[in-house]
Amino acid sequence: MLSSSLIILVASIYLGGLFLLAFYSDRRAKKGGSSFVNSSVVYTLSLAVYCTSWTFYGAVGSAARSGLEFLTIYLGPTLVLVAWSFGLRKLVRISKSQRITSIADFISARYGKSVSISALVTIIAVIGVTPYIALQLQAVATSFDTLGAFNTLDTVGARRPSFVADTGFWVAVCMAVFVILFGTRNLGADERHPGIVAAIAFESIVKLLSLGAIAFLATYGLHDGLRDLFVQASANADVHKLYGFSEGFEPRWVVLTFLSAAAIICLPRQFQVAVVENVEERHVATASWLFPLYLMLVSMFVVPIAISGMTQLPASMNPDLYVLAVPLASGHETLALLAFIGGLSAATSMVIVASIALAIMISNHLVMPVILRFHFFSTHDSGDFSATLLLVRRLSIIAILSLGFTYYRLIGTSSPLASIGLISFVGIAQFLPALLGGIFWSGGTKKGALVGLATGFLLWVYTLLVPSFAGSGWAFMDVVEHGPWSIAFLKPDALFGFVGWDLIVHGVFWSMTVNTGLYVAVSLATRQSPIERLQSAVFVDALKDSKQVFEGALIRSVTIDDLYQLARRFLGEPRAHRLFEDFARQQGRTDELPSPDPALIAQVERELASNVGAASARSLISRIVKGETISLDTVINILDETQQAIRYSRELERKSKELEDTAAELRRANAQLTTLDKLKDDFLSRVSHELRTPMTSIRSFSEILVDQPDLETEQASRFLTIIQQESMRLTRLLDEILELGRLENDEIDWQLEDVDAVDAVRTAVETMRGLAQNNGVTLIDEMGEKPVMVKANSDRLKQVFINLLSNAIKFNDSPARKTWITLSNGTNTGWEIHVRDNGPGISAPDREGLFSKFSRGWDEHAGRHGGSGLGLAISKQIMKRLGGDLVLQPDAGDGACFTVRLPAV
Amino acid sequence: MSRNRRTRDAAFVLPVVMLLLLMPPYLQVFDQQSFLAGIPLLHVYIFSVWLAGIVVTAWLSRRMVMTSDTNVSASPGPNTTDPAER
Repeated sequence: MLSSSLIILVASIYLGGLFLLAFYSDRRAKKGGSSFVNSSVVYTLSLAVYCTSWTFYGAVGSAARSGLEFLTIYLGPTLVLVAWSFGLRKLVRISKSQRITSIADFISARYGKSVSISALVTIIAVIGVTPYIALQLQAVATSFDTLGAFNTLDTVGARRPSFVADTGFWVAVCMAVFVILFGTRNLGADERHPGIVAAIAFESIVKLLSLGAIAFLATYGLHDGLRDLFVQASANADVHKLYGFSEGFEPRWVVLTFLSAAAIICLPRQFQVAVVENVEERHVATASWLFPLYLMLVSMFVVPIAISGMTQLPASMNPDLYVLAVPLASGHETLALLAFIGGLSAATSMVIVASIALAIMISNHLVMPVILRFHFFSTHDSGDFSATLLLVRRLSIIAILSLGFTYYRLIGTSSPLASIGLISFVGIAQFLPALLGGIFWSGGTKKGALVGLATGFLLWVYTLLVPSFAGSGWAFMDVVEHGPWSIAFLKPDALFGFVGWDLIVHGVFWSMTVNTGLYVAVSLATRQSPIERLQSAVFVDALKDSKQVFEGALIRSVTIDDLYQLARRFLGEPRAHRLFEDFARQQGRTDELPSPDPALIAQVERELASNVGAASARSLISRIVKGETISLDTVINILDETQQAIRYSRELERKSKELEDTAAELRRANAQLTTLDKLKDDFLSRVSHELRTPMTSIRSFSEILVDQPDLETEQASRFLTIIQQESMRLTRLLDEILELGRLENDEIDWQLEDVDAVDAVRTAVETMRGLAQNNGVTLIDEMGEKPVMVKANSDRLKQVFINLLSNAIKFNDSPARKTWITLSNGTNTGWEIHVRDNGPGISAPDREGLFSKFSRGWDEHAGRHGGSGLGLAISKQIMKRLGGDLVLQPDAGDGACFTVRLPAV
Repeated sequence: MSRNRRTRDAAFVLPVVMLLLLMPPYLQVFDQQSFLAGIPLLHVYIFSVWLAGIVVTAWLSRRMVMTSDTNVSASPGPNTTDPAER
């Protein structure tokens, strides 16, 4: 038998130590040292605030009552943590960037920082969590009573003690003092409480170790190992429900797994430790396996204790107390005390975190908006606001614990812990549609979330809370028994004729389906306001790497003085000063005040949000800013996710088109190069061939002259003449090749002047008249007397016509040989001079490439007629250089007709 | 890149597989009154799936943190190193 004073002493020492631990780690965190709080193990252990008295005492009770069902409460969170990279990580990332302070803040921030949503979520959270807090009070109170007076507690349903004599009352008072001391000592830069995180991490170790110790006792102290435990117990028919499932377990199994999965993120205290208190995102990665491991160990410990309790304790014993009763009954009082401390750890850590989380929500989302509305604060001298905030939080904590205590007094003691906890879970799970819809579906609207939350909550109250009130004989007995106004069709536990369903399954079915359905339907039917669209994009695209600037989307203006006053009053003088100084430095200003650009306003709003929540911060800011508009362009650019995809695909399309074009161009260039290469080869082979011919004759004649010195003089001089002619031909050929090369490479610089083309051409005609007469060709000049002025070089022009005329003369072999020179207006503003003969014309194969070097017909005719074959190519080049052209007219029957085009002056 | 992708896909599939294995149709396969090494078969099954899930998650999350680390180190950011992680 343990005396009450000893228990109180041990508990006080434990709680005092806890306070010191929290105090010490707060100090260390404030000094900025790399505190051990900043570790993934501590983060994981702080998540274990999930395991409350419900786990510590209730899981064993649940196992004893309904078998393996208790496992679902730990499998749900396991699955959520295993899927961390999609869910939890996103929540953490969003909350960091948005300075989220609570789940109410999160949901309201997603739906356009709506005050009504945050208030509604807060109300649901407070009412939903109240039974849960009552559960802790009940657990601590009964465990205390059990430990102090074990023998008297065998009888269930003892007389209720008076208000003040109720252990639960003192437990509630102690906890309120403890939480106020812990959680509201000051307002931090954010809603982080490193000291509390350290304390609850420590408590998580304590509760795991003490539960493990009892399980060890049950397995190896009271039995001879696991085999002995299970086999011995199988003699007891009652224990068999722990070995397998009972008939029809499926709905509850599925629903409870779902509920616990929802609870691990939706419970305000879980959101607080998992998201708000998270220091680094990567801690979530470690917790993703370490926390499931913790839960698995806890679940493993439960079974031996439950079996020992069922086989060795009287059937009248409350299964929720097996954890204490098993060591007590076997005389291990120290272990029982350890178990009590473990249970106390579980309860205090839950109450501390839950009431702090709820106090933050109440002060930020219920009280602040009211204060802001009634106490118009435009009076600048109304001082520092943070003191008011702290007071509000302290009062909220007292109110929360009072509410929990009231529920405990009115309803509590008769129900098993697990069933009380499950009612809370269903209430809290109402956040799930709005929360998940908020981060995965950009279409969810504020109205949809409001309607879904409100109806889900009302259905929860009706289908679960009302029956629980009725079950304890406090109120609504009539409604539950016969239905409202005696309409059985509307009975809370058999709504719309769903008779015979399990209460929890029934409540979850109605509240969740209606909640989700209305959320989606109303969202589809309503439109988002600009701020909602902005927030929905921020939330849904949080994990994308795109660096989008949302700040600039909100165009607001404000005087720097107003902004500073506001920041000072809510953040305190030092923080506001630091913030503004930093910004001034960033903006590169020498004086202390930065310019109030949108980035600064957004930053101040975020800082305010970390103290009073997004909705209140927004309404504070919007009181002092003017012209709050969202620039349409930015919004359209930023928000339309499809827009980005389209832009991206267009870009791709353009790029691939560009590539295609480039490839085609390259192919063309390549073909051209191949042709040019071939031409070059042709050219070289022809040049060498053409050089060979005169060289061969020069060589052979000179050899004859050398070999036969006694050659006749006449013959010798004939041979020498040939040698001379051939070498002259060689020289001419080389000269022409050189000239063509220079022309093609633009190396010749000519003086262009105003020239009378008719005069120049006539000079050429007169020059060629002698050659024509020798060949029997008549040159007919039909250009007339009028001068035609062109921009040209007179010598070059003559060269072109001499070449054309000599061709016309040399190649004409018809009986009456004639060549006409005529003048006409060109197609554009230029002139055209034609040289036409009545010779054989130019055959179709020769026409192609006539103007290229050594054209096709070259080696057939050139040698015979003494030309180099480069004349036309050179003439064409010259005309090009003169800005005109030289073309061959299409075959007009007899003879060839070349046209020289000349630009007018 | 494809390694990252496979890790991500695996991290998506794992919770789904675990959920299926821990829900009624599969669960009922092992709902027999028989013992494995003195422990009820159902317990052995549930806790094995649980443990396997934990091990695979640990492996996957380590890989994901490692790949995101290499990304982070490329761009300087306010990342304090965490001794407990290393």
